[in-house]
Amino acid sequence: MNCAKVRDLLPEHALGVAGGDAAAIDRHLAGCAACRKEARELHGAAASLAFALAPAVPPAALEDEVVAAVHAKAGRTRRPSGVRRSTAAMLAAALALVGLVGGAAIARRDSTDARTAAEIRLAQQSDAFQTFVDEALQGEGTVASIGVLRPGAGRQGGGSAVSVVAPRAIDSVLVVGSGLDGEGMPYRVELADGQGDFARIGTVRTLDSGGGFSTGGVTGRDLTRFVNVLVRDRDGEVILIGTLRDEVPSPSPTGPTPSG
Amino acid sequence: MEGLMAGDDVAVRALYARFGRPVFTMGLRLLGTREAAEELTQDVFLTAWRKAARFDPQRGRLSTWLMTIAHNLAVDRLRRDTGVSRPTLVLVDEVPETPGVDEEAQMIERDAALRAIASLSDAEKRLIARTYFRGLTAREIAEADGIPLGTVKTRLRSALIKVRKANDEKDLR
Repeated sequence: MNCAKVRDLLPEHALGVAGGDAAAIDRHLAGCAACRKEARELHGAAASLAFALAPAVPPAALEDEVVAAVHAKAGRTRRPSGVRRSTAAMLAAALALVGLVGGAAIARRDSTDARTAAEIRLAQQSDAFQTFVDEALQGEGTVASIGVLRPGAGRQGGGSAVSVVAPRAIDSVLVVGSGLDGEGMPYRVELADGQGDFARIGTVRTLDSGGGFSTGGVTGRDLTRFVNVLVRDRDGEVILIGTLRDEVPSPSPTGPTPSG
Repeated sequence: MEGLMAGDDVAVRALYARFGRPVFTMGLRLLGTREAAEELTQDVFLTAWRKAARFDPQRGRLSTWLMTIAHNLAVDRLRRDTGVSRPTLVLVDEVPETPGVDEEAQMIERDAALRAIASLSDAEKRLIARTYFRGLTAREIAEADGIPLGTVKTRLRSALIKVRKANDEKDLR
C-alpha cells in the first residue's frame, strides 16, 4: 500500500472503521514517518471525541476485577513453556550481551541520565522482544534467530536483532541499538544475504537520550537467506554489524549487568 | 508503563483511576449494556498491558493510545454483533457527579471534546456520530445516503481536521 492510498484511508483508520485495510495501513505507518505524522494528528483528534460521551459510573468492584485480571495474565505469561521457553532463553542471552555492550559504551559518556534512560530502555526491550516473538510464533516450522550487533570500526554502541521466519506467516525482524553517538544520522538499517541482495528494514532519524533506537516489523519478504544485519550512516559507513543465528549466543562470564 | 508491563497493582490502579471511567463510558454508550461495558473495560486494560511495551510517548499521548484501543475493541464488537439494536448515543443528557481529582481531569477533557464537536457543522456531526460512535464505514454511509464515497471521505477528513484545530486551540489556552 503506497502513501497516497494510506492517506486516503487515514481518516477512516483514525475513526476505527478502516476494516480489513487497518493491518496494511499499520504496516505502512511502521515504516513511513510522513504518513505516521498525519496519522498521529488524526488519531489524536478521533480519540478526543471519546470524552464527549456523557460520563457513566462503572461499578465499584470493576477496578478490583481489572487489576486481578491483569495481575493473573501477567503472572501466567511470565512462565513461557515449550518452544517459547527456548526462545525466551535466547532473548535473555541476547539482551544480556546488548546490556554489556551498550552499558559499557554508555558508561563512557559519563552521564547518569543517559545511563538511566538506557536501563529503562533495556527493560522495555526485554518485554518488547517477548511480546514480539510471542505474537510472531504462531505455527510449527517457525524459526526465531538472534544476533548481537557490535560497533563498526571507530564507532561505539551495541545492539541486537531478532528475526522470525515462518513458513505460513509473514517474516518479521526487529533491530535495536543503544549507546550510539548520532554522528552521520540518519542511519539505514538493512539485512543482507551475503550475495549482494539487501532487505531494507528501516531508517533511524532520531535517537533517545541513551543513544538508542528500535526499528523493524513485518517485511513482506522471505528472510530465510538474510542473516547479516547492518546499520549504516548516511555515507554508507557501518555503525553496527552482526549476524542472525538460530543458536543461543554466549553471554560474558560476568553475566547480565546492564546497570553498569 | 514498566509497572503496567509487570502487572504491578499500583500501576494498573493508577491507569484505571485515570481511564477506567471513560473506557467504561465508551463501552456503555456504544454497546448499550453495563455487562458489555464491564467486559470491554477488562479487555481494554488487558490489551493495554499486552501492548504496553509498544507505547511510545514520542508518537502520541497516553490518552490517545488507550482510548484508541478502547474504541477499536468497542467498534469490533459493535460490528460483530450485527442485528443487535444499537444504543441511542448520549452526548449531553447526564449531569456528572461531584468530581474527584481524576474526574476533574476527565471533565476538562469532556469540555474540550464538546467544544470541538461544536465547531463542526450539523452534517459533520452526524457523519462523526455514524462512524466513530456507531462503527459505520465510509462506504456504508455513501451507499445509504446515495452520495459518492469520495465525498464522505473528504467530509470525514475535514471534520477530523476541525476537531484537531479545536484541540490545538484548547492546548494553547
